[in-house]
Amino acid sequence: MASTRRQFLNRILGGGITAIMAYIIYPVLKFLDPPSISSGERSKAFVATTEEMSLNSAKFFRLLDRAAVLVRLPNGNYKSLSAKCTDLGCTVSFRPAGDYFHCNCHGSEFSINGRVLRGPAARPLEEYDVSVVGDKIYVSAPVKSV
Amino acid sequence: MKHRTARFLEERINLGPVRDWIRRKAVPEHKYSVWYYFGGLALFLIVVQIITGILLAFYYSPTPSKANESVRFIMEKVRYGWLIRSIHFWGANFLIAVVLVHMFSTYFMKAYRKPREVMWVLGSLILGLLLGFAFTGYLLPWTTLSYFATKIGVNTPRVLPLIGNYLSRIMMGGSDVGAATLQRMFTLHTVVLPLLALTLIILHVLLSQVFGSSVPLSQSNYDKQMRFFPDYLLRDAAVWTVGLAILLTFATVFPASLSAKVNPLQPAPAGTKPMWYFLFMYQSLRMYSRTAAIGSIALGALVWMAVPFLDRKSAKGKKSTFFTLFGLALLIYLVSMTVFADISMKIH
Repeated sequence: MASTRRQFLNRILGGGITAIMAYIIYPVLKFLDPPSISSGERSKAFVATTEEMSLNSAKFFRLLDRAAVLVRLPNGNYKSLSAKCTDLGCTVSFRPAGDYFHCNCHGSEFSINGRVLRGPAARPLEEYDVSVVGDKIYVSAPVKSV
Repeated sequence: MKHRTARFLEERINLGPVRDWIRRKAVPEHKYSVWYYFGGLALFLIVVQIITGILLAFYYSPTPSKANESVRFIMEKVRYGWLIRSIHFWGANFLIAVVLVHMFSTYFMKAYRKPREVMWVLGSLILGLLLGFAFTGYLLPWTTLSYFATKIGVNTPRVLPLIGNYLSRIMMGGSDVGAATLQRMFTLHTVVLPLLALTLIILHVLLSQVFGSSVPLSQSNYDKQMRFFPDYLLRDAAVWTVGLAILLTFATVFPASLSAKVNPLQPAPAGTKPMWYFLFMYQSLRMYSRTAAIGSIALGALVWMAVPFLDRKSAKGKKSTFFTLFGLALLIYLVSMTVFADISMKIH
């Protein structure tokens, strides 16, 4: 059935109002989304001295305003991981007796290497670079977001 | 003096229709009338929350370095600060409980049926906003528990396709919970949500005045009514007084505590769990896959809001057993999941 002139004009008006609303809402939604800063820079932090870190021990520290952990593996090597559970972001705790990390929020578990031992977490803990200069241990990670 | 004021107003505004409306306004009286009081009680508690919230905002500082200290200052130094915060804390809990009772009583009395469909939708949205208030307010004391509970809350939507990451980011104001999150939660809690909630509450109350109280189908043979002014209003005031007395008792006997300031390096404390009104979600997320749990809850909420449009029998004044059973099943699910979550947390 052909539409009347009134119906046609109503549709034009409705479409126009919708377009104006979208024109207003879109920048608001974009404004609320925080900008991602990726500068290619790395953040480096002094974490501990080699004397402080006994075998099978862990030290928590802040890197890029986030919780991170330095572990000394049973073979004597160092490893640094994000201490943020990959499930919902809670900080994990270290269980030296069992050589693993445990998240109190939903029970996820990670090996001392950051591998998932038990869900619900699906991804391993993010790994950072470790460098030993003399007796000082440094950890670095890329600055990738706000 | 009174006469003068009345005369002053009368000369300028025609108050006759308002007086007539008040004189005519009546509330149905039947064996389920007691449930009507929960709507008024919810409104009263909202006023309590607004007043105590404004008072707290005079001292609260929404920055990671000062948030916890400012709440401690309110509780330890400001005169009656502990009481105001305690009332705000318990008021939030009571308000959600009262609104839930109001919602389920409305549901089982089928008060959502024509012509009150929009009132039901508005009421459901108001409950959503109140839960939003609770969620955003929880982070404000900036304690370790509130920090991790918020982390769980803001990261949970990530599983949603397309909008999940965006939702999570705009709630956090970044890639992790921090200063930006605190600022955003404070803005939502004190500006955005109050504006939205007040608009919807005013509309909800206006519609309730237009339509009056709904009479359950089983009681439609009773035509007994009570005058709103002063008979019902006095009873309403008595309920508010009792409500306030219970609230004050809880606020003084079990004052709201304040745990230690956030230390993100500390592992999430054992027993990190949300407030009781989010426990059913928490337990659902633990028992089922994230996507299934969130998807089902979102879909369930939409169906719940659409019930007046789905329940055709009630709209025609007929008994609708299916929707009564649906409401009952939902109620049992909510209660059992909440209890189950609480028990399993205690065991672990």
